[in-house]
Amino acid sequence: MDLKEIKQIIDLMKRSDLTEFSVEEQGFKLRIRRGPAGAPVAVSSPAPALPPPAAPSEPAPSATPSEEIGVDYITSPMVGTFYRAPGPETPPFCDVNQLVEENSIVCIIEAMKIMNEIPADKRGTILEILVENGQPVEFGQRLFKIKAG
Amino acid sequence: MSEAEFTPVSPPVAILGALLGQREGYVSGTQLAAQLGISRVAVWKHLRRLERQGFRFEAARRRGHRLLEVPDHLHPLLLEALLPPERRPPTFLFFTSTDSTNTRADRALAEGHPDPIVVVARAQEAGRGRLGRSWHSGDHGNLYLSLGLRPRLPPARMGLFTLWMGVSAGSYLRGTTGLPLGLKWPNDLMADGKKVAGMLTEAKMDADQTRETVFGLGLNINAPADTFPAELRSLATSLAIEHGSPLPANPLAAGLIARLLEAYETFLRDGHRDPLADLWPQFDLLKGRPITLHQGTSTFSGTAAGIDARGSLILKSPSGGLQTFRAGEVTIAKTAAP
Repeated sequence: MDLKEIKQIIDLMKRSDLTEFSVEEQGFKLRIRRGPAGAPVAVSSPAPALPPPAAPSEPAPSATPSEEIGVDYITSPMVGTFYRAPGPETPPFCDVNQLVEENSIVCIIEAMKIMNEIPADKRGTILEILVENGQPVEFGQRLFKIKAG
Repeated sequence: MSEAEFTPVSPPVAILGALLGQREGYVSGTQLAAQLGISRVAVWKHLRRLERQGFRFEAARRRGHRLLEVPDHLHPLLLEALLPPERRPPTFLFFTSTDSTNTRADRALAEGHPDPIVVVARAQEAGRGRLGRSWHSGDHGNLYLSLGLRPRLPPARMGLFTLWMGVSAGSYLRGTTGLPLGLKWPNDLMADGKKVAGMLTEAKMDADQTRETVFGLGLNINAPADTFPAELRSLATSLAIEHGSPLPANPLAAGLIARLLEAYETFLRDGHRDPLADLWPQFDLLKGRPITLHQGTSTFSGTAAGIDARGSLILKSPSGGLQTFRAGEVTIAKTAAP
């Protein structure tokens, strides 16, 4: 289930008298409850039987609802080498606890000697940098853990 | 392409173009004036101004003007006049010296100038290579060139760009100079084991496409050996050193720019795959040689075994296993002297 589908459910709930909705799929459980006056509140928690975590070299989905709310990931759009700064003596594009704007550059991924400046696809605060400088990354691999907003 | 799409040129470029087309003969002042839609006096003034910039003309009674000499150093009007009309870029910027042509091209893209943007400098104060390394960029008769491009292609489609531009530059320069130039994967242009040109591509991504790309090339054309810093003399060379005498910088640079713009056009319409597969083996300096590839903190050793369809370097390990690489720095292992 992706964000779009969750939004569709919320819209459906808004347009109907439905106040609670829950679904369980392989690996996660989602429950949405709607107060009488407020906006829908989504509560999700990991289902008991979680699949084993993906190996770091495997493409990881950009967001799984089994995480705490508001936590998201910036993922690699390509295979290449990850660099946090344009050069060894220059400061990194971003650091932990820093707020990054949507479209601000967060890293460089070198692929076939093209230095690709990677923009954040969402605004948020960097919680964790998941790849070490100079390490190879795969397509879809998580690079930064961020708190959206 | 129709004639209306050609970028209009300034009167001095048109005058130089007409005179270059008639290197042996004369072009009359009346003819030039009519061609440009200006007075004969205006033509004469442009010629005097060009003389102050290093051009020499001969004027013969009743016959007209003839071009005798052009400047040795890169000259913007001459470069423009030497470019074939269909390859004159919509944006052309020239600097005697600038911080970095890549930075200039990047800025011109951000300012919205139509692409391809061509930036040429005689010297750079902060020329850079991969990972913030500096590129020695003195005013010694070399070319510092950047192309500002808006390919708008998915990143996967950009995979062969580096190799294709490298092979295109290499085959033009090999053809023009007759030097046995080769490429060290991905695109270091080498002559006699030393680097003669370096290329660096910097790209800006949108959600799912490569929005803007700056392709930078530093080519040592006429730099004499003593202008290289001591620590680079065993690593770098110039076309003139290898050739044994200076080369005409302006025609060489204009020809290279035209070839690279053509190569980019071919790349955009996805016509580069077959010619690259054909050309790469002719330039591949690594194939069959023992190499070490450095990637971040890891190193891999083995024998280079060419490239795959995506341009990745194939490394054959001592045990016979094959590994492919899309990034990294290659050094050729020293073998015992024969």
